[in-house]
Amino acid sequence: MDKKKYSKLLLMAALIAMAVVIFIALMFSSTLLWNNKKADLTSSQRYGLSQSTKKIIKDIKQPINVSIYMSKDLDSNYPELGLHAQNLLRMLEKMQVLSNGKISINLKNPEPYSPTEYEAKGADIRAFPDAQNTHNMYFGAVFSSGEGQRYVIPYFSVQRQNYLEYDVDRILAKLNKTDKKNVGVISFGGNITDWQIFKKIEQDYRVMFLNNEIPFIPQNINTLIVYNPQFVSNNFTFALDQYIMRGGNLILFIDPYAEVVAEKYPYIKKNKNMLLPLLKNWGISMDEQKIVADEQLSRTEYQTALSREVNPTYINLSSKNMNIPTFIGEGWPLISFRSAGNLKVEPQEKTLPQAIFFTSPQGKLIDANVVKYLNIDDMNNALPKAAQQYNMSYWICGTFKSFFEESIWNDINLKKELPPFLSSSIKPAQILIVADSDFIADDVWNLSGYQKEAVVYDQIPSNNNADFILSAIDFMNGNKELSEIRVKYLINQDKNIAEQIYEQTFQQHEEEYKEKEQEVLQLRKDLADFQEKLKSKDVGMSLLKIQELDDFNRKQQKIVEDIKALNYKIQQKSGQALNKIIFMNILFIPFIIILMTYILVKIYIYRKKQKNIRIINE
Amino acid sequence: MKNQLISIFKKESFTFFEGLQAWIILGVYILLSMFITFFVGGFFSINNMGLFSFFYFQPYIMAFLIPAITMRLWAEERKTGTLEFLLTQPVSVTSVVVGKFMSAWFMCLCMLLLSTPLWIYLNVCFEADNLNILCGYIACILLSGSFCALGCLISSFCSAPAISYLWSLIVLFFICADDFSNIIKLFHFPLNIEIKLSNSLNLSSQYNDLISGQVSFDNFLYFIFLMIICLVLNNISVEYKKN
Repeated sequence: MDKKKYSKLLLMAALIAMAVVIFIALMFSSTLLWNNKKADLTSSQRYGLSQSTKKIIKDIKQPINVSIYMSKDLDSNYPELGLHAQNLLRMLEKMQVLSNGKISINLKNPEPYSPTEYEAKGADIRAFPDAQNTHNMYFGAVFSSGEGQRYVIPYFSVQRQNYLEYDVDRILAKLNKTDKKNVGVISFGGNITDWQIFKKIEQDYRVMFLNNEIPFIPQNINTLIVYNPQFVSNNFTFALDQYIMRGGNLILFIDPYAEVVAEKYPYIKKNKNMLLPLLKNWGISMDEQKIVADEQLSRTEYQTALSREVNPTYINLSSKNMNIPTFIGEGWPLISFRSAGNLKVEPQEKTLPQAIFFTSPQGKLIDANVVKYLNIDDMNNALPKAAQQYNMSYWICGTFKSFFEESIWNDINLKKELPPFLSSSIKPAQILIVADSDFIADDVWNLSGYQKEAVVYDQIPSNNNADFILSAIDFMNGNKELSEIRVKYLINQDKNIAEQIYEQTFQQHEEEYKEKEQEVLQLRKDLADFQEKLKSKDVGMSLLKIQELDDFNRKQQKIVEDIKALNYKIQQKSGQALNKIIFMNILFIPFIIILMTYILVKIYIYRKKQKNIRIINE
Repeated sequence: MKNQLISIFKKESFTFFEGLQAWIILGVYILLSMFITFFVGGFFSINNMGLFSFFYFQPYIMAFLIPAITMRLWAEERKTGTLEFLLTQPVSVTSVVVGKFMSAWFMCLCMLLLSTPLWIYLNVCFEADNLNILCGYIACILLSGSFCALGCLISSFCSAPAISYLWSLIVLFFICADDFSNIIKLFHFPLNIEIKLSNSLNLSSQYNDLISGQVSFDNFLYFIFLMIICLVLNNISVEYKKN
């Protein structure tokens, strides 16, 4: 290569290197300038900070330090965690900008066997193995305030990414407050101390488990949770009455059928809710023999041909079935009930009751014994035709008159120790009543299950039941900003396209399907009646009866086959619909467009050539 | 200048669509991207109404197809000897460079247009996240522009279209797949600087921000800077050849 060419090549290389350096410098500075000012261009505003977050950050009074322990090679080992980390850092940067420097972020890399790793371990950050299982990795954070308060998220789980803003918001709000209020818990449904919801409440409040024979509710209990009051003593009724008279905050879970308790204590055949007279005094009533059912809102599972099990008493509520004006019931994406009762509230002179959760207008009442002792088919069969909207939860605020005319304690010494008897409220009380005690049971809302070492950040909620209860406690204790924090779904929770197509196809055959299901149910009922008759002494077994029994079985088999065929047809049809979409988008439409454009271009070229030839000829 | 640019753009686009090459590229693009959307990206099974399964794989599809568009822009001119003729015409080098680049970009826009029936279908049958989809299309337009500019630059260095295609393929795939973190790690920056630097230089990170709907000014600047720098270098390289 001659010298001139070589020098020109060198010049070119230098130019390219210079361009790369300029590019890096420009990009780095633009990232520093604009990366934390991201616009959220999604229809559900998934990535922006919510109004409650902005409010909490603006209210921060003292400096808050966030130390994030994040291993350097997190994204190369676990790409999902890397993406989660990116979202976390972006969110914290936005918060930092909004806080006018009150939030400082300190990013630390706990390299294996380095002092930072020991620091992370000391701060309770949880270690997890890398993809090759050669060394420990970390992804957690420590939030600390100037006053020495400290909260730790030991591990940012991907499964909890919808709760990212929620968790950070709650910690920031707590760091801004110094006092921790007391929440008392009284259970009549066995030991519930290890339930995950109390771990969640314990993060923000002091949880105190009280004996259900307690003669009075201590004055320092800011909110009282009463779980499944059955066989309630007169002492407790009196204590609760007086607690409300003193302006207490009560969250009450009553139930016509507590499934969790029934599983624990199957020998208790009949529950007796002796708190109902007291509730009636407050204007609240619930029929213990009736359970709310709603076919429209019940969980539907498509499994095999005959296992489209719809339990009408397992109800999932979306925001449509929540009362928007009551802010504690507003904005929850999913609330679940299991065999809830129907609440009726008659407004008293000085109370303000508000229904929070209710069924669709297609709600029905079903006998509690049918739900307790019969199967789902029978349950569906026993549903009445009359439908209306039923309320499953109420919020009542106001003053009441005592259920008792005088103190039940005659012992003078005890009387001296107890606060004086009140015949009417001296302060307005707040009562949240949920007609389903399974509402807070672990397996109703928490997918992660029970683990002794688990912390609140390991919980994987399947619905917002626990979030709602915590929000209600916040509201009752005057933490309005905390009660307004809502979970933000980064992942779309709706059905995917295949499921939607299946549902659309199923809807075309729904009538036919339901008819067949009804036929099976009717046939089963007839068969059961017939077998009952056979068992009775009056009707003996004869050849005719055996033939009749055979007929029943044959008919049943035929309908089952029909349902299977129908299910297969629906699956085939939805499969065909998917194939049609693929065919239309891969082959048909694009190639029609290409072909048409090709023909148009060719005509244009031909005409242009003809025009040129004509001009040349002329 | 403007007229020169338009006539170069028209001439290049006309040459493209006159032959079969453009039609084959269009056909391959739509087949490949729809196949990947439905069978690899899980269009039916992921809970996303923002066409995420379509947009997510676009950098790789474009890295494979755009070199086929840009390879002939300069390399073929050099191979057939028409480059000298073109450069002696009364047109400025800049208008030739920009005109050629725009014709390649126009071809990419035609490619993207073929996917719009899916967007329309999603709107007719379901509740599409239109704002997110619009962001995705803007990201694709910017990405294809950057890839075209890079392809044009590489083509201007090569003497044969096949070599240009191969080099472009290697460079574009490297940019798509590598996050430069290994290179950045060599400099031992503090973790927050390292993350920021890696994010700012990583094409996937910038592109993914746009398609997920988390948009900031620096995402746009990344692609615009990349285009401008490649076009300036392309201009210098052609000027160098002209002289």
